[in-house]
Order: sequence, then structure tokens, then C-alpha cells
Amino acid sequence: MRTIAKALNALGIKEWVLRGEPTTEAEFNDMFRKVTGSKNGSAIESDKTSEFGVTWKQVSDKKKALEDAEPMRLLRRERDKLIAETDWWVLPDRTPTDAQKKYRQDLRDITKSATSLDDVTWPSKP
Amino acid sequence: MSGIIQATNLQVTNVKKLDGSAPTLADLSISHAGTVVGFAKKNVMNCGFSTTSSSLVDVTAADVSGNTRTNDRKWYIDYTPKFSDSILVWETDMFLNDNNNGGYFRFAIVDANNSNAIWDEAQPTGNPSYISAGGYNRDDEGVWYNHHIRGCNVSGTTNTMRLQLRVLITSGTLSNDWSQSDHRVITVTEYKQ
Repeated sequence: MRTIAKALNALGIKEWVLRGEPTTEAEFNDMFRKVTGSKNGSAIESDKTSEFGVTWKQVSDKKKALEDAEPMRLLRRERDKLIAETDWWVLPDRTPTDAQKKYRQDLRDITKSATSLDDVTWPSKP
Repeated sequence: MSGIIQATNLQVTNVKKLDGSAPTLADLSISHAGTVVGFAKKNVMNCGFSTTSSSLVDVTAADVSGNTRTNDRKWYIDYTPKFSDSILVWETDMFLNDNNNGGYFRFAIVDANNSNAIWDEAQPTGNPSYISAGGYNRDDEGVWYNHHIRGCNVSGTTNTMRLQLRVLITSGTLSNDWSQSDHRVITVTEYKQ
């Protein structure tokens, strides 16, 4: 999913259609349509900006915020995957070693030292 | 040599062309049931469309040269049936993603030249109005999958039809913008009944 659609979802906007990936207010006003109802199963689409329920500034600001947060989101996703790989270490029927506990804690703390997958140094797996 | 023979019944043992060869069905203008009597195709770009609409909206494709959408980018094909009682089969493929667990989407084909009349609306089998459906596939970073869409209907006219793909989604966001260079094709095939 592209970022404008993500921004609309993050803003809680419902019932819309986006035909293209706008980069300006004019493009957004042309490509975005708010579904205001339906008739015989077909959507009634509004091209009135007053009915959009959102402005281009709100969308573009949210898009930027999502893009700024993306490196950290990807870092956390990779970190979560590594933690999940070692979940069996802490099952109730076994006791993890100190090294294993430290490895998992270091993974949880990775966001204190790294800001993206580009500058991360992963701890060594025991 | 040319001319027209008119008769209530015409019985012959063999029919040959002037050069002595056997005539084809096309030469005889005869089409048996099941014969393909027409075909059209159109290339589209599988990208640039997202929706959360719970009622049917036109599916579109993005402009390959940038972010400018043009009207002829809608996911349709124009077709003029040879006969009003033919069977038309409309097909295309899309590469899709629905990001919401529990959500599903449904497609319909409409004739935009005929008040968006929905195909298959009165057919005895299947869910009325819908010709294809799909569902959630993990998350917005998850697996995209190819969705084949096929609809079948009686032509009902010999006027030019604009066979437009429409879709609705029950929850989540439906996107087909996996790539900016994913070419797809729409085809319509006409079969004589």
C-alpha cells in the first residue's frame, strides 16, 4: 500500500477511493473521492473538498510523519522477528542461560542505540 | 460471380468454393453454438488504485508516465457484440492486497454505457452482482497475490458496451499499487449461442 492510502487510514478516514498517488493538493483533489452514500449498490462519489473530511495538508503531514517513522518501524519489525526466534528459550519447562537472557534484553533495547536498519549493530546470538 | 439465392430449403450434397477448395465457416457466415465470433483486448497498468468503499466504485489504473490520472485509465474495455444473444466472457488479472483481517472484497462488471447495469445480476448461480471475490492476506507489508477476475453474461445488445470493473471492500483497504510497471490485459470474448 502506498503512503497516501496509509496516511488516510492513519487519520481514520473511511469510505474513500483514491485513483493515483497524489503529490500536490491539486492532484489530491483530482484523485481523491469521498463516498457519501450508495445507490443501487454503486457508490456515490463526491468531488467536493468540503465533503472530503480531510485536507491535503493533513494528509501530506501524516504522510511525512509515517515516512519519518518508517526506518524505526522496519527496525522494530526485524528486532521482533529475532526475539520471536528465541521465544522457545523462555518456555516454562526450561531455564534460559544468562547469555540468552542478555541477548533478548539487548534486542529489546536496540532502539536506544539504533535508529534504522542502516545503523544497527545486532547483538551476537549466544 | 455474385448473387443471392433465396430458398426455404436448400439441400446439396457438397459445397465448394469457386477454386474447388472446401469453404470455411467464415466463408459460409455460419457460426455454430460455442464458436468464437468476436474478441477484443486492452492493456492497462496494475497500479494506482486504493479504496475503502463499501459500495461499488470504478477500478482504475495509474498513468505509467507519472502521477497524472487520465480518464481512459479506468479498468474497462469497449466492445461491440456481433449478436445480441451471444455469451460474453470478460477476464483480467490484478495484483492485490487487502490489509484488514476479516475483510473481503467483491468485484462486479458493469456496462457503463447502459446506466452501469451489473452483469450476472439475475443469474441463477453464485452471489448476484458479484463475479469474483477475495480476502485478507496478512498485513499491508504482507503477501500480495494475483487475482483472476472472470465474468460471463449474455450480450443483450449489439450496441457498444463499456465493460467496466468495479469493486467494494467490507473492511480495510484494497490496493493494487504493488508496482508502477505491472502491465495487465483485459479481454472480452464473444461466443455464439
